[in-house]
Amino acid sequence: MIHQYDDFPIIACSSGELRAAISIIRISGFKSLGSIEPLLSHDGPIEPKKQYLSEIIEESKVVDQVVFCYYENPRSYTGENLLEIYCHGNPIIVNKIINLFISYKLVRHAYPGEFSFRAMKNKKLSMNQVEGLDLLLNANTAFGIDQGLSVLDGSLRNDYQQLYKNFLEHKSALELGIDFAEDVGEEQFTKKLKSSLNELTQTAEKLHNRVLSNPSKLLDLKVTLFGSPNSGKSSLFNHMLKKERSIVSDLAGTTRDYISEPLMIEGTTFSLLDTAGLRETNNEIEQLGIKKTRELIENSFYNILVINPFDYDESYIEQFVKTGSIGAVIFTHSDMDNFEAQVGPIGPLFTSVNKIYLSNSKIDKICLEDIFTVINKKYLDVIKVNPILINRHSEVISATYSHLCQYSGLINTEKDISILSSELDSIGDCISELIGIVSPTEVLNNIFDNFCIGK
Amino acid sequence: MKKTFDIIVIGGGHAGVEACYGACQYKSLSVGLVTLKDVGIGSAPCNPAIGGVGKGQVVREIDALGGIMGKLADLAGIQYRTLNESKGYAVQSTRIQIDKDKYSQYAEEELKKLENLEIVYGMVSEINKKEKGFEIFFGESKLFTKKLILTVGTFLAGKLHIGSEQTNGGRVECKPSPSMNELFSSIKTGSKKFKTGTPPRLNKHSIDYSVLEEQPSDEKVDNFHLFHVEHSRNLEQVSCYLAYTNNTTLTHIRENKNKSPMYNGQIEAVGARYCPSIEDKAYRYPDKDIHHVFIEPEGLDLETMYPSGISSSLPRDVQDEFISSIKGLESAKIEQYGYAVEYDVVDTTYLSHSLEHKEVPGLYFAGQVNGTSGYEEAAGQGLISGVNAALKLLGRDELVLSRMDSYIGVMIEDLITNTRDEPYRLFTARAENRLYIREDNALLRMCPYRSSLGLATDLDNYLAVFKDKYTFYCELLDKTFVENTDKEIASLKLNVPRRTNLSDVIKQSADPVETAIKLFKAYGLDVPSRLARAIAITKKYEGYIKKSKSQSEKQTKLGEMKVSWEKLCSSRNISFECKQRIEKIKPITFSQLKLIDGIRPATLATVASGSL
Repeated sequence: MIHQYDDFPIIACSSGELRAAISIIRISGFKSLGSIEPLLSHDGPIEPKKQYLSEIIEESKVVDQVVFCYYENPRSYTGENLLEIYCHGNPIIVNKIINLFISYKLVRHAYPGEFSFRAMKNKKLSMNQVEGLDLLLNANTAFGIDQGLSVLDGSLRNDYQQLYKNFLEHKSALELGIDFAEDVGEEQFTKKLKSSLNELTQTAEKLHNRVLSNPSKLLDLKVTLFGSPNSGKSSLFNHMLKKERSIVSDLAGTTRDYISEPLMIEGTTFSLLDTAGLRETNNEIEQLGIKKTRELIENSFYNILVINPFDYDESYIEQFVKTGSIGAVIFTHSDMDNFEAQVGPIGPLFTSVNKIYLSNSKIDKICLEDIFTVINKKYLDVIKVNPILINRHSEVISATYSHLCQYSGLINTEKDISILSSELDSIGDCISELIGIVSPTEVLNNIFDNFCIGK
Repeated sequence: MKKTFDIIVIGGGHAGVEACYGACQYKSLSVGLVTLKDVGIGSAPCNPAIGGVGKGQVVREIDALGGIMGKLADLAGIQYRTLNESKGYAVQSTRIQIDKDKYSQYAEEELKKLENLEIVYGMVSEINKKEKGFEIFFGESKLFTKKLILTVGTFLAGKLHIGSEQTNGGRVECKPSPSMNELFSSIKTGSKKFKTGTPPRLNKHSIDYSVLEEQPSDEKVDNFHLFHVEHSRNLEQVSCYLAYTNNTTLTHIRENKNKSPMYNGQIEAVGARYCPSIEDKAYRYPDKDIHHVFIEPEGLDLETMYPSGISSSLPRDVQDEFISSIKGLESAKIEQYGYAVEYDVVDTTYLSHSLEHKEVPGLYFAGQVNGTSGYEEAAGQGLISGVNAALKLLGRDELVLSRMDSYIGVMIEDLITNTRDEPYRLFTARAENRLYIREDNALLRMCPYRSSLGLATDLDNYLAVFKDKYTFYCELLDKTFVENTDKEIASLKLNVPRRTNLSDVIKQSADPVETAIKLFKAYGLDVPSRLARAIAITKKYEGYIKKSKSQSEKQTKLGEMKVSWEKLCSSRNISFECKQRIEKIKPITFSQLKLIDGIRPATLATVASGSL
């Protein structure tokens, strides 16, 4: 919790836990270099933003040879005095250095996200930027990274500013009719009121269209293959990846857990998932696998139902068709005799779903291309809308939109402008949260508790 | 003549009158009013009207707190109107056109009735701060006072402009007065001068009223003063008229732009955007030629009419020309030309909630000298300064009105938390709690403040009874359940549920006030109509106020959060510029911090997050 944070200097490895050639350790918030210098062999003045070669010394023994750079407040990432130490990337060395500084009581371990919190506290980052940073560091897709950047550079903020501007215009129009009724006259007032509400509604609608119910789907683009046991999911999985990964056997129920592999389509990385087959079973392990599959389907970006028309369980199919969560259905065994007659009765179930027929004996390339095309098309369609990925923003935009819908109804029936204006204020409160005029404490706590941001 | 006073008020305008009246309620104190002989007491150099949107509420607040403006406006009223009548009770306001000579005359009479007030005529030339008060010099004489209230209006280094003619003085045909610096060298005035203007006055017999829209006085409008019978009128009622400018009018003005002191650089001061001169309108909105001109009588016996909406400082010949281009004013004769006046204002961020100067204790400022415009704004501040000077002398708690329950509170907090670059006028939009701070419930809103003054007068008694009855009837309405077939309810022909309480019947009717009055009558209850009105409108808004309160609770809670300005100023995380502003205003709550102009959102976010 933020309120547990203090001003004490903090230390952490900023470059991650993995073994690498070089690791970066950051120390932030010390009063002066004087307290830290005894641990460095470097002699002589230290100028900000210059790199120095030095040794880290513990009781006259060399711990590591490092390069360090000093950033003087406020010109540093955190806005405080900041020291960056580039040491050899062995975790043992990294921990030794960190513990050395802590044992001298010069610093304490940083809480998750505390460097970014300090940066925000010191106005190095705005609330929106912190959210953008979170997106940037935790996104698995190019789109997530793009949006992270657009939040950081403020272009998403510009869209919100537009909403705020439209809101102010409409609010002003209302107030015009109250405080300046004698100056403007009734006709001008009514005209302005209408036109400004139209503009506000348009902008809010546009933003609302960009709100997806589950933005996390876009941060990790899961493509899930599911279907009855032995319908050919794993074969398809392997073909799509062009390698043998899933164990393929004729025995139903081979894939009990799920398997995930990166799949590149037109430069975008998806995760292709092969899942446990869905069927009635008493096997507990298998039941667990099936439960997991259901969850995956719910959280996937794209779901592909694989059906062997010669052997399928209709009740399952109907269940999923109803939820509308299926992107494509693939009928395997298209090279078998009687295929069309078999597909005939199930085909009509899938009216708005992509249907692809897959030969069983040989996987033809055109068919695979079709699958990739429908997946990528959905991705491009979604990206075109430029969805908003930050949960808090989506929530606020949805709230704004629903308040606005209520308000638009009220404006036709309520003649008392002071009441209208008061109702409009609830929209203003929403928008001000969006552009960060006032960021309530809970939001900050939530972010810094739940996300590890740019340590 | 007395030489030593407890309180001296300098300036006999609307702020000064209320300051005297407020202070004199404490009979043990001696109060002096120093004012100019050639300017009437409580004179109206601009619009001859009291009240208006937001301002009507202020007049009723003043009245309920024991001020005098409402009473004077009723006595001198010659045309009554309710503004925003169709736009909701919360934003409805009373405006009374006054006979400005009579208003002044009544004001002087009322002040002379005050036994502990002495009126001294003269121009103050110097003020010195002494250990226990102030020395005031004028002419040959010298006065001493413990507390001093400056309500000097536009007179500080005032300068008048009509075309290229310039004269020193705060008002037309008045002697020039000294600047703040000459008067009291240790008080800082704002870096900018302010400007206001007034239109030419027209001879009332030279106007063709037959082609103008007449606006008669509305006899249904209630008086301001609570002891005046609702619809009684002291003077004969007359009409106002509405005229319109046209293309010829505006063309004249546009063609003479180089002769306008406002636009040729002669006047550097800042006027208010909301009160533009006709020059402003002409040059700023080149496409708009039709503007309203309200023709308002200045008095029953006065020969002049006030054309509201066309204030101007253009040369005399241009004023003649553009006036005669207006339909109905073709042969109108100008009795007094319009002029603009520039004046010094004090920096109100040095003032506390009681309007006392933070660096010169004992010195109070109120009215136009604080950079406000409007008689009502001035009067509201005057009353607060007068009462507080008295309370301080008596060692009592100060009177501070909250912005959540009064327009006076909104105004004073706005004034002291910010420097402005244009004159300040009250708008209802400035009030966060607009649905609650209304004219109809002013008595109820002011009741606790008034009773905190500890004055047991007829007024206090009236308010206490009003409030008691209000509480009683509200409860009665809540607790009385009726069937819609009851004859009392059925006769109202309302669309109400089968069984409901009377509060809901009122709330759901199209005209709650009318319904409440009918209901009370139907049940044989003798509820005065003012009370019925306050009850009905309260019921109407109850739900909305509650809703907006719960919605803004987060913001309100945050707003009430205490902040330590000392801590903020010593924080390394706040920019120097922000610190300077914070140090000057010394905010103690988050909402005050938020009001400060130029505070960065990041600073607010930091403070809001509780990390400072």
